[in-house]
Parts: sequence; C-alpha cells; structure tokens
Amino acid sequence: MGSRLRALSSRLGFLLDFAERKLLLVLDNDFRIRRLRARGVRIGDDCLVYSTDFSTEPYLVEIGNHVAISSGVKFVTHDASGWLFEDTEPDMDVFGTIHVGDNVYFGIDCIVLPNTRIGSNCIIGAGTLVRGDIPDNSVVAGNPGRVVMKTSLLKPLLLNHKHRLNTLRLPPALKEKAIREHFGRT
Amino acid sequence: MQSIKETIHQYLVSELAAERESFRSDENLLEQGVIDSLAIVKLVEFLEESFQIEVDDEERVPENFESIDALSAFVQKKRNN
Repeated sequence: MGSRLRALSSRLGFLLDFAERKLLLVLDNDFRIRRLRARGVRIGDDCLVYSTDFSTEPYLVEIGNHVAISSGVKFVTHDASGWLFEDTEPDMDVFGTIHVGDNVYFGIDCIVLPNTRIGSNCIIGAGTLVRGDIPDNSVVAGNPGRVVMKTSLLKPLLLNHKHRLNTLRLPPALKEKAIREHFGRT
Repeated sequence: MQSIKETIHQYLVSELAAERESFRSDENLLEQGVIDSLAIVKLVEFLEESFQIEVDDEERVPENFESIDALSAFVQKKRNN
C-alpha cells in the first residue's frame, strides 16, 4: 500500500510539474522567470525566456544577462542512457552542468546537452544540438553544433538583410501592416 | 586556368543568380543584402573544397569575407602557409 501511494504521489508530482511548465508558457515573461528561479535555475537580468524545459535538475543550469531563449529549447542536465546497464548498475546516474554567458540568443528547438559551456555574445541557430565549450562571439548551428562563423560576421548580414524592417517595437497592428506592405501581402 | 578571383566570382554568381548577375571584386558583399548566414556556410564549404584549405572558426570574420578581393587574398594566404 505504501509503495502504491508513493508511486501515485510521484505521478501526481510529475503531472503538477508538467502542468505548471505548460501554464508558464502562456504567462508573463517576468513571472515565468521568477518561477524558473524558484525551481533553481539561475537566470540573469534582462532575459526573455520562452521555454520551461530546464530538465529534472534545473539547479544545474546557469543563464547570464540579456539572454533570449526561444520556444522549444531544451536544457538537458542528465544522461539517462545508463538505462541499458540497469541490470548491473541499478543506481547509476550521470549528470552535467550547463552555463550560458551574457548576451546570447537561442533559436527555436535547440537542445543543450550536459557539460556545456556557452560563452558570451553567441547565437545558437534553430534546431542546434549544443555540447561542449562554445567560445565567446560564436554563431553555432547544426547537429552536432559547430561554430559556423563569428558573431561579427553575422552582424552586417542582419543589418543589411533585404527583409530587415524596423518593426520590433511597433504595436501589433502597425507591425503587421508594415510587414504585409513589405512582402506585398496587403 | 581560372584565377582564384574568377573561381570565387563564378561561384557567387551561380549561387546568387536570382539576386545578381555579377559583382565587382572590391564591392562589399556583406552590405548588399544578397548574402545570408546560410550562404556564408555554403561559401566556406566551397572554399575548403575548391582550394583545399581549412577555414578556422576564428577566420570566419568580416575582414575575410567582405569582398571577392578579400576572399581571394584570404585563400591565397591560406595556400601559402
């Protein structure tokens, strides 16, 4: 009976955790960050966080200042592949920390593996599998993630992009109007 | 035999044919709005394969990519080393 109650309690805890993480995604950024900090994630100032996937050991993740994390980004702090050796190593668990510097952008659906250190002024492209040490000022892309250029090379490409518009801070209706006009979708 | 400059120019025109038919060798490619980050990645792959060089992470900076002249000088320097 005791073990059944414990199993039920564990399942309920998991469901509540899952529900909270999903709910946080539709709430205010500041509130979301406060809740993530309460769970143990260290997050610096002036961050935008659209993911709540900080693994089962969120206290092993440290995020610097002015970091933007897009939706679907996953931070992984453990390696559960020891599952294969459960017969001889039933108690084995393997963990790793994640450290992110200042002024970093994560594109959607990145996966950050354990024992990863990302420097400052980095851009992590959408869908990248990030692992190991990423130096400052790097643009990383691919699976496995590789440095594809320095941030200084990406900057003029963005500044001079043919579809660059100065609409970031416009009200939604005006922004949509400007975008539609630019792409001829009026 | 095609020079380094000609080879690079031909590649850029073939890749960006929808955008431009030609480029001046001293023209700033990064300010034209015709090259994006994916084009740079593909350009690096082209340079490494065509000229048998390896472009280090630290060399992927504006100074080496800003024009056909700059790209050509960079490739020449790598080959000489």
